[in-house]
Amino acid sequence: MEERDTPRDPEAFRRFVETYSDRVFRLVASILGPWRDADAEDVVQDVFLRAWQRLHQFRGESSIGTWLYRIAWTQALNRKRTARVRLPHVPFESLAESPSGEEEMTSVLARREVAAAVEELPDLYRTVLLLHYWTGCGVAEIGELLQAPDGTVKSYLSRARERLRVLLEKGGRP
Amino acid sequence: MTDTEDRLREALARERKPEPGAFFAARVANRVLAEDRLRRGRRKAPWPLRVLGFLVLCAAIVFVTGTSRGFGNELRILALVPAGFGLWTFRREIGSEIRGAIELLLG
Repeated sequence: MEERDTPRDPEAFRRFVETYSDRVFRLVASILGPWRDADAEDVVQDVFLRAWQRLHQFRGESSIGTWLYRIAWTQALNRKRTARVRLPHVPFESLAESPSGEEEMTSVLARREVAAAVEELPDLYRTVLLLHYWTGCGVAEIGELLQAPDGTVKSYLSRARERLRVLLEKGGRP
Repeated sequence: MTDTEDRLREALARERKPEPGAFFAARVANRVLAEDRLRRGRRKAPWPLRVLGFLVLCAAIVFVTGTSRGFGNELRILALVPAGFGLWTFRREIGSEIRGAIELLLG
């Protein structure tokens, strides 16, 4: 399908979803993050539903992918605001039963500290970090999702790591 | 690699990676199209039809509540047919809600 095609008929729409769903899913999941209880699949569905309903508003000034990622960004941020944060924790039963309970607890506390610090980052920095380190997206792909040149993405990554380092030194608190 | 990166990678390694399954795209497309059909089905009927539906519904209610003496109770049950028609026309989304729910259930 051509980038500028508007997939108004159901078959074209199916191809459109096939082309973009993976990238939209990674973007949405990274905005929500692994420690939130929001369902990325639900949000992706909302993104495509909104795109389908608003196709007539797409003016072709940018690529349809860029337009779709913008919708995904807004929808995911809206959902993130209402989702609860669930930081890593050790179930009490596993501590009682496991011989390596103490080790497990130390590991969970360390992960919890990182998770709390990541959650403190601004949306853009957190998303860039998670896209890179969690979903394994390269700089070029992040640039495509966020409509930013490679140099800018590298700069976002570097600043995000720096902010994270500072937060971790303060123990996850701003 | 810096210590911050190490810690971040270690923390994220234990979290489930966001990987859409093989049929993810098809599932999303099906759901969106079904939801869209459901929403389109919720559009109101044209106003003359809605007025007609409302009048038929009123007539059926008057008939059932007993102003038309002389008919047996069995006949009054027949009034449920125009009442149903009136209700369906006046509130057409009831039918489409049921259809949409079935479509969503069947995937």
